[in-house]
Amino acid sequence: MNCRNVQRKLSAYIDGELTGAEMMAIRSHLSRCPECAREERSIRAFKRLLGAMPCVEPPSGLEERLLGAIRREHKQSASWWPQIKWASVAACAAGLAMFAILTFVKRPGGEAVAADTAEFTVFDATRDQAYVAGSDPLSFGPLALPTGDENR
Amino acid sequence: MKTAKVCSVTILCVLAATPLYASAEPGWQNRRQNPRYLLLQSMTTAKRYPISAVVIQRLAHVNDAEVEMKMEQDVFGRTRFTVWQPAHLSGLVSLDDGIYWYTYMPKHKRVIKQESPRIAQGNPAYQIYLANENYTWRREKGPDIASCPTVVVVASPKAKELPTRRYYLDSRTCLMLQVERVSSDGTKKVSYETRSLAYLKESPKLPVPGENDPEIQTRVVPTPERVGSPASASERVGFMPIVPETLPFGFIVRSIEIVGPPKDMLIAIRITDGLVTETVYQWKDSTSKRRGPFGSKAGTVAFKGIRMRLVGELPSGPAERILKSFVSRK
Repeated sequence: MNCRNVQRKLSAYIDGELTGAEMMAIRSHLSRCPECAREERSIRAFKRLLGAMPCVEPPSGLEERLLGAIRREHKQSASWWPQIKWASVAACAAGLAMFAILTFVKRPGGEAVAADTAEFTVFDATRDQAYVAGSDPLSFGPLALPTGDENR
Repeated sequence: MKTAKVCSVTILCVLAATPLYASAEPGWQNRRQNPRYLLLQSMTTAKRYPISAVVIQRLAHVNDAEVEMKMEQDVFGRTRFTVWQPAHLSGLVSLDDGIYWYTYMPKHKRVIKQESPRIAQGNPAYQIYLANENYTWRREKGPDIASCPTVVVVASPKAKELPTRRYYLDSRTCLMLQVERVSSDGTKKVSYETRSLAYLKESPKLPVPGENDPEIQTRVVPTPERVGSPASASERVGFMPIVPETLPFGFIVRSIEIVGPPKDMLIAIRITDGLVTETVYQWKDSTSKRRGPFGSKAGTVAFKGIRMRLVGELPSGPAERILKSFVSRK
């Protein structure tokens, strides 16, 4: 499986929606390819961020207002120009949204991998164990707290 | 006449709905009383309550050192801990926003930034599923903790050598308030407890420590890197990690990771039984001239040129048996 195929299926891979063979193939590819592994971490981080966003209650009467606006729009759309206008606005908005998402998605993984490893010269088991604790809320309790003198 | 008709229709509706309600009620109650469901809630929805608390954590990986902290959590699940005690750690701040994990050390005027460990967190439902293979469950009424009524989820291991785990949850919100381990000889260790707790009306603001202070340096630390197989790890670290096909007590390999600085990389094999996560570190024995990454060979075993050590919270007996399963592999 090449990088292009893997990156196309990364979202489904993270959501566990692929077949076992595909999951294995992607997992194996990720272990070899730092670029795709970075992409996977970015998407995972982004999904987590999206999942953490609260549900926003729509204001009362929104549905009525929306339907009313659509009805009015429908009546006025005898000419083709407004349709093109709305399509271009929607396309611009979608483009901007995609740009914002891609910019955001690139950030976390990129920075994490670009850690200043030159300065990182000592293995800190305490920090690593705190990291494990933070990834498993039932193992040590719900807290990750390093106490080592961090990477002198 | 019309009123009588409306009344009769209403009565009929109520009569029709009563059996439906009655049949639905026990199912709903059973779910709320299922210990596994409660524990799952504590790992998911309870992580979104805005709270401020004073908690004590005893760190198993630092000889059960006791740390008293203020804990804050917002509706996004971001958590911030500010250490009060012991004195040498006072002022240390740990903020995990789900993307990054920041640790501010006031003595060094430094922030350590690392990818959030929550990104590496597995699926909570699978974790409970795995734990269900290795533990039996009980639900008990608990004492009030920090003025909150509690329910205790007791997970008794099928392997008697392992400790029983008791999770005290707020019975209204499933927020975890206390965690205890009771070993097979009856010794009890409280690894986490809540001294006081306030549910907040508004989500607290949890700024990144040292964000706008030019005097504070930020250092990014690399995240443990997951690899897909021992073979792919060997290409990076220069030796083939030892991964047994089966582990005792129902443990499974959760991940194989590369940790440590680029010049002295180690393998960290994370193993779990659902409720406990342990790490078996492995490194080339020949690189241990400087007494190895732990500063001492105590507690380590060597096999086929690889030295390894198990780190975690398991008692010494089960820990030794798990480590033996790594060296007795044919």
